[in-house]
Amino acid sequence: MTTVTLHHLSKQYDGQTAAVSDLTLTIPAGQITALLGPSGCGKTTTLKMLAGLLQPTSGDVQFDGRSVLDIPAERRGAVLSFQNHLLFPYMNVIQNVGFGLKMRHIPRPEIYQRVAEILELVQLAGYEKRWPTQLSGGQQQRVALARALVVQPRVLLLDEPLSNLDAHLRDEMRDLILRLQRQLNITTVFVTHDQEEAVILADQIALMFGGRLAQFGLPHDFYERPRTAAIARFFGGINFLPCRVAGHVARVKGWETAVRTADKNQAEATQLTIRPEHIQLVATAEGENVVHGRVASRLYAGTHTRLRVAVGPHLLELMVLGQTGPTEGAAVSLYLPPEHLCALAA
Amino acid sequence: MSNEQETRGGVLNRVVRWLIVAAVLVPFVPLVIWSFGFRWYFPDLWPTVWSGRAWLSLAAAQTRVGLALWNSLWVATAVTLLSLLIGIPAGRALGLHRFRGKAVVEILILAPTIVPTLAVAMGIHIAFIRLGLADTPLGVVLVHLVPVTPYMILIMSSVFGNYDVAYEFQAQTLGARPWQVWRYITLPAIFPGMVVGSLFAFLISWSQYLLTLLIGGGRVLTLPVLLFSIATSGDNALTAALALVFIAPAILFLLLTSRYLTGRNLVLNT
Repeated sequence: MTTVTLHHLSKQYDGQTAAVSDLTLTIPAGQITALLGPSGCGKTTTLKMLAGLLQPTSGDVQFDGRSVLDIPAERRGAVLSFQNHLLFPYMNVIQNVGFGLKMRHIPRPEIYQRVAEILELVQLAGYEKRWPTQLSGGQQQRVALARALVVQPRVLLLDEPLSNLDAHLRDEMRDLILRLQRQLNITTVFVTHDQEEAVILADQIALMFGGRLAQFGLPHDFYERPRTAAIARFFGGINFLPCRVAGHVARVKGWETAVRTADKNQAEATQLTIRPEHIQLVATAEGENVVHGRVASRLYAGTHTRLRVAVGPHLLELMVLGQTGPTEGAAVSLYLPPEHLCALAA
Repeated sequence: MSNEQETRGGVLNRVVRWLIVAAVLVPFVPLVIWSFGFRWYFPDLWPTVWSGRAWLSLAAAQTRVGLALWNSLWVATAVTLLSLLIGIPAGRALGLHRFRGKAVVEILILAPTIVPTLAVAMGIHIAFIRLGLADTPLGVVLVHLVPVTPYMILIMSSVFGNYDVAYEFQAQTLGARPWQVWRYITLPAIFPGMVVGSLFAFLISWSQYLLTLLIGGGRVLTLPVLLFSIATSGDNALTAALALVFIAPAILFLLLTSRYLTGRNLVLNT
């Protein structure tokens, strides 16, 4: 298992703003790490620098504490699987999967054996003689994964591994990646623009904005403890309350009563946020962190209904199950659990 | 009903196909007749006397014909290989990359197909005399590259225009060294394009007369040069027979490479 470390990694293309700047990150061995961010945030550039397909402008990439910058991509032991799986069109499945082994001059019988084993793992045994065009999108993706895994890389790099697939294939592929990664224990880094994909697949997430690391942590942290409003928004945060925070007490602009937040005091915090799923409708009118408002709108979304409640000058969005909940215009009391009220830096 | 329509469509298809074959082959019929005709004057529909004289004398003069055939073959082959050597990297640069002044470079590359060859050949001749390349086979090969290279570059740049270079990165990250990337990824992808380019290069070189005569100074005897000298001598039968010899390899080469000319499988498509 290989630990990957990035030290102040930067990449600047000629005469342009930096694609990646000063990225410092430790990717734990044997786990799955997501590089997440909107398009153009430098995540794919970072992945290519890990693979050795791009040379960083400055900084260092280390595998197990040893710099790999002077090792060319073909000998680095990091295999990158591209987004559109790029199966070699004039090679059949066995030739595609065995490609990396053939390049290493491994004898043919061994290639066949190892390809057969890996095809078994990705549930494509019996497809050896098929051509890429005779495979479905999901099968092509699995062949690409097998082709990367068969060379037993130290680090597996995946570019948007789920993005080209239909919803049900995505679930299948996700389960397959998780299962194989747990089984083979390969340090895995994947790139995605989809926060949901990152959350369900990754052990930890590195969120990048504009070439910089915005936050690195467990998937859970990004929902419960986003550091900034931009991060909260990227993860679907919608309730933002401008406020002043002192200790654990937050005064929201336009609200008479103060609310308590369990968040560690952020002296420079200017906003509070709470996720819609954490706001509770309560019957009691009194109590700490209970605020009052009127239902401004209801939006039925199948499994749940989104309620917008006007509390003072602010709209708070919350969710109720199915089609339950108060009607439009009804007066309601909301409980904002202190442990879910998160103070945000500007 | 549908069966009948299909048969009718099939018949039409076959008729059209044979018409095309006929259109290609008919022009050769007079050549064949000429080559065997001994006495053929107006208003006779056929030669009054048939003879194999022309073919026999070609065989008898086999030293000259053989030499011309051999020269033409190796010159065209050398020109083809050299133009591939130039055309592949140039086509790759033009097809894959954007750079400053690319439009100018493209026009300059096409220039030899627009500017009359004779205008350039005079200057080249003088330069080649100084360099000692005039009257030599090497000089002929080099001067053939002038009309050949633009076509090769044009074809290779359109091949690379549709080429997805990401396949090379994919191969590299899977462990392929640079020469392996070239051998297993690039070469198979551009091979059909190389065949098409080679066909053009070979045929353009094969049919060069003026440049060969000028730079070769008559010392480098190729088939077109021999053909012209015999044609001007007025021996129609011999000219026709030699013309057939001249055309045969070209047609053979065309047939061998025809499966690459369909435009399909030209490149790696994403």
